[in-house]
Amino acid sequence: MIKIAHLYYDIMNLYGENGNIRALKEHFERQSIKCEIHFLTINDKIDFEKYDIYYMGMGTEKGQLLVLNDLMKYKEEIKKSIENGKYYFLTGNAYELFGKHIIDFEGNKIECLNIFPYYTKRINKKDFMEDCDFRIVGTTSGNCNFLDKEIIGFQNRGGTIHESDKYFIKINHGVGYEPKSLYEGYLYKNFLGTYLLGPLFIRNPYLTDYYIKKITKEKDNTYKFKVFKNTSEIKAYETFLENFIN
Amino acid sequence: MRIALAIIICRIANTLSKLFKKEGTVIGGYWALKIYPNVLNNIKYPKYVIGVTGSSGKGSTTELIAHILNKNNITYAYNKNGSNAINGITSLILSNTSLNGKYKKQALLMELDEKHMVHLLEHFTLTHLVITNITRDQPPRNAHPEYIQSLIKSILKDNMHLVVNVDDPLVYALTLDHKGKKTYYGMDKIKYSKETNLHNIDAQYCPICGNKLTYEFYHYGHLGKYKCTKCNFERPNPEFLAHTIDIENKTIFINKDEIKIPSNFLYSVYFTTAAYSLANTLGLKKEKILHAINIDPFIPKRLNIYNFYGRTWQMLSSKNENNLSYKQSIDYILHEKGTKTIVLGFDNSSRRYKENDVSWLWDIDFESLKDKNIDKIVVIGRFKYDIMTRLEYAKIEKEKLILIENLETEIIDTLKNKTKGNIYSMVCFDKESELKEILKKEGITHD
Repeated sequence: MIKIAHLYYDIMNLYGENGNIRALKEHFERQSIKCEIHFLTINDKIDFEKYDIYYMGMGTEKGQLLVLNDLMKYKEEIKKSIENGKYYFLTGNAYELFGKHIIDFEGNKIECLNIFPYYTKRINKKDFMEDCDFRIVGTTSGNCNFLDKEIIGFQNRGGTIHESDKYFIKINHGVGYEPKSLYEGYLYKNFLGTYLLGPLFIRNPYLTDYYIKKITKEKDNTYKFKVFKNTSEIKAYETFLENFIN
Repeated sequence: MRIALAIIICRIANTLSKLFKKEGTVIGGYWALKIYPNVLNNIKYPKYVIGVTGSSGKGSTTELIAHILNKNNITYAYNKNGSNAINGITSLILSNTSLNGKYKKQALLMELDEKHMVHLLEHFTLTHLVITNITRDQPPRNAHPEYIQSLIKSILKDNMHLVVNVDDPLVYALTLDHKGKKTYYGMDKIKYSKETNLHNIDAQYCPICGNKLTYEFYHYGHLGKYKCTKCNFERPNPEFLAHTIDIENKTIFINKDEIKIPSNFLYSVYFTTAAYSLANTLGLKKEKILHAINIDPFIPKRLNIYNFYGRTWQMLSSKNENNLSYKQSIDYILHEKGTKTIVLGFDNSSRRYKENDVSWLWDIDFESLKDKNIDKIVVIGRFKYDIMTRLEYAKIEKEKLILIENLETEIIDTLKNKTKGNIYSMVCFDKESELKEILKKEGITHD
């Protein structure tokens, strides 16, 4: 039995990110492993030891701060749980909350969980050309160092990340932490944070299976992992690479 | 002098563009603004300058308002073709302005793009603004609803009369600080009102204090009757309330008036109520408003209906990147009687930009397609595997799903021999043209 906590499901839910939870559940169940999902939000008591996986998606700038306000009280518990190897999957601006701080449009510093050394700057209009919208939007792909399959995704964000000491992917297509950066995301132990928003685990079935396998093996080393070929997800992934990346 | 030049340039450019079989509604505005960037500041505007904006429904609302104005003998111009950004609007205004800078009609009516209107309204102001809703819509260009809400907020002025849909908390919140006139409209509970089964609704938290909103009911998305659990923010009683709604028979009541709605889509309740409310705030005679809506109704855009070997094939457009509009098309199909086959697909997420995000597929309740009256779902287009994935996750029976690899060689045969019932296609613009081309070769033209 795998237990997943979908954190702040009703507020960090901007871009079809329920797809990630569905993908994890589906992929576990294909392996005949039961999977339980708990939906938790502001004012719920969140236990950071009880679950195998913690997932959080992308929110609006305002919504993200409502969540931060609730999350701060768990700071030490979250830190401990990441150190203990719990799985954290964060898509979109959710992972900004795990850095030092966010510098907002007015230049104010908003303290975050301060678990990792990076910080976020909200993109200010004057940092960009006059005509440009002040968000980073577009298809992104890149390679991570634990899988030989390219990671694909989409970005749509109003922040840039600075002073990160680790990364998830090296960018092939699109931009990284900020327009000049070739690196994106944050990997530490079993923590994965990335600006790739939306249904990351639907769109990257190999990545999903990598984690499913890893989590399953940790629970039961003798487990025989079933391989599913030519699923619609795999075809969608390959078609996208063919049409838009290669 | 300069204004006359801009107007002349605008007309010449539009005429030339039409000669070359282009739309001829945008280019004139572009050139006029090039030679006189502040041309719109120097127009003498009419008594009514009406804007209609929102994430969806603004086109239909504008059209119905135009129809009502027409039947009330108020002269007006509006952007009928949907050119709702700055060049299109400039072109619209200048095409109806005399060389001395005086706008020639009694009313200027504009469907306004919620993003572009920020720049447009730096040059002039509105007397009335209708706001239909603020929902997820084309995120690569619109980011998210709160962002659009902040843009709309930035253009509000106290001398504007706001006519707004208060079922949307993001819209209602915009009016709280408004010192000018405001008119509220909304929809009462109907038999399809429910709680959505995806956790994807926006505005689940109070836009004022940030605490959770509770909903007595939703119509769709976050449109419904809400109340904050902490502060006193709640959906007010609308001045114009649509109630006793009978979608099947296309009748509703607004307050005491029985009203006919032009189609059995739920959103037509909203756009009819919006247009009715605005017409009332303009002070038009009620009998004349009702006459325009009920007795002499406007005909909505012609439905795309074909006769496919004795089966009705209705073409609906795929409302990509707007999960609520997409869902309403699904609901429309579900509410239709009899066995049906659905064709889904798209080549690009958008016609307006090159970004191809597929996230929105996961915000749509495709689970509702698990319906015994649906015989088959046929999937086409460049993103067919993404749609297939979504439908599989929705647990639609595998034997109901058909994937078309080669549209040209497979679609006719598949639909003819492997599917039953009336056909409803919901595909992107390009794919719809291809389907029409294929039907034409098959000798099937408009019904």
